[in-house]
Amino acid sequence: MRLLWLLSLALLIGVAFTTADDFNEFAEFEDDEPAVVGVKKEEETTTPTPTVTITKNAPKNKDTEFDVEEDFGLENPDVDDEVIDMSIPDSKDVPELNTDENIKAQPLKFADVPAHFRSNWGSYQVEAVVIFLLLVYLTNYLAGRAANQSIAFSWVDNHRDRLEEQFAVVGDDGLSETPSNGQLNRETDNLFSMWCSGRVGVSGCMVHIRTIKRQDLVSRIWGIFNKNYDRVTLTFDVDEGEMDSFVVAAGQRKSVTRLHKELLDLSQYTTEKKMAPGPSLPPSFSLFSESSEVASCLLDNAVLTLAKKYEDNIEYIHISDQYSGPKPPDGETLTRLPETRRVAVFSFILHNQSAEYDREAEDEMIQMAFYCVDKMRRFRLSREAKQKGDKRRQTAQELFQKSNHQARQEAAQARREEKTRERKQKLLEEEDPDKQRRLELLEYKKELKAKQPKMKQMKMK
Amino acid sequence: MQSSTDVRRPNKVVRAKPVDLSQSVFEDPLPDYMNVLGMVFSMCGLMLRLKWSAWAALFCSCVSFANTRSSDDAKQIVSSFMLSVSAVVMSYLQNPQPIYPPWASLL
Repeated sequence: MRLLWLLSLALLIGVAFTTADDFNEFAEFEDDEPAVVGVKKEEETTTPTPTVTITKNAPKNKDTEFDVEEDFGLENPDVDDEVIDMSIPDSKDVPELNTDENIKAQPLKFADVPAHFRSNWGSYQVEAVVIFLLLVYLTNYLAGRAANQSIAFSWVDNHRDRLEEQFAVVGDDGLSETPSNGQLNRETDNLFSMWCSGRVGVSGCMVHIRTIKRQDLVSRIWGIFNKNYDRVTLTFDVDEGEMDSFVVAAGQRKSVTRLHKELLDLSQYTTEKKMAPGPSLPPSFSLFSESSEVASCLLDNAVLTLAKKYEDNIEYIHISDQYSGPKPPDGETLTRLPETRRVAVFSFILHNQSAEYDREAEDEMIQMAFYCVDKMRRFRLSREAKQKGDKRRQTAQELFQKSNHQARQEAAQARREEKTRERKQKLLEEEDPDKQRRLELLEYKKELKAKQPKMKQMKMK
Repeated sequence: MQSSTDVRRPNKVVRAKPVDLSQSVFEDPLPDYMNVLGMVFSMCGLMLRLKWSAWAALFCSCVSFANTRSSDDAKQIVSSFMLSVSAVVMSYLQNPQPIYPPWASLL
């Protein structure tokens, strides 16, 4: 009979452990964490009292066990009752069993298994915020892109007549067989370009419409602190022989100073100049010029009046016969003389005040650009100024060639050394002693030759 | 300022040439920076299992996409997106635990 009890007890313990394990496995899929914590706590409360007498401890442990079992309905409760009843009278066997139980029924340690993400969407707060931000960014992208496009197209619509008056072709895409008309190219989502050509004195004019980066939310937020505007830039490519050699830039102080730093021709040839007495530029403007003669002639009364009227709208005017784009970044030197172009660049700011005002202002500014181009074509420097200018260009070229020559010499020296090193390496690697000897001899001769003075030696008699 | 004579010369038309924006004053280095930054973030997300880094990579890809030049290769944008999305997916497949929100300690 006792054997039977022992057997049933062993069975019970076995089942208890398997169910405990099962329970542990289920914990992975447990929905609410507090429940898991609760069980943990219960377990913890039983552990601090290991010194309590066995008879008191036994039912407690069993209870917890049975709770677990009852949850899953794996055991017959009647049998358990019997087990408890029988364990009390027989004191000899019970202690042994209970200590065994104590060891095995240590508080269950639950691994910190993460809950499956499908069951608790509520805790993904950061992810929700990030996805929301991405959606906001996307909607802003679509809206901003459309806004930029409409600004560019409306500008072209407004001024197409004026441009068509001046150019035979307005808006060529460069791809079709015959020059097309009215093509506005999108370079980026905030930069549009249009090519106009077929005019006296200039080979063409590139119209760039650069809007604020409305499509980029980050730039938009940045723009709140750092005010930015939509801009239109007209770049005229002037034909050869149509302009004298001079470089001049005038416009809003901030922009012109930046250009002076960034552009090669401005930094090389111009210095800041003051206007001659009489009508002058608005106070917020500054002037960088090669000679004051150019400035006083190009910026005549008509241009100065317009500059005063549209002080906020004109960003800069830059006319140059040596335009070669931005300077190379620091640490880099040009390997050959940069290609220069004769250009006249006019940059205007669009303030988007009112449709009527904008249209009128822009129209007048475009007219001013054409007026300046024509004036520049007619303008000739005085003999002195021309000589000075030509000399300056010559010196700049020589200076460049000198520095370039030095750099080239250094490169050649490095190449020569590399070649010698390679030859010596080959000599060392040669396995055939005869060949090696021959190579060595050759090397020696070459070295001797290199040491010889490069002048022709004359024997004195 | 108006000129009375016709200045148009149809026989002098020069065809448009594609402009290299990287050599002009309109150069914008932002998309390139964002591309590199996105790549770094995705790599951090993939290698170090940093979830926030994977999300940041996705955001960088978006900024790069919004600022990219239309003449640029679309492959670059696609690969940048693929890399960042895979960083997000891999980090959540590995450990689906949510990011611990910084405001949780305040509540």
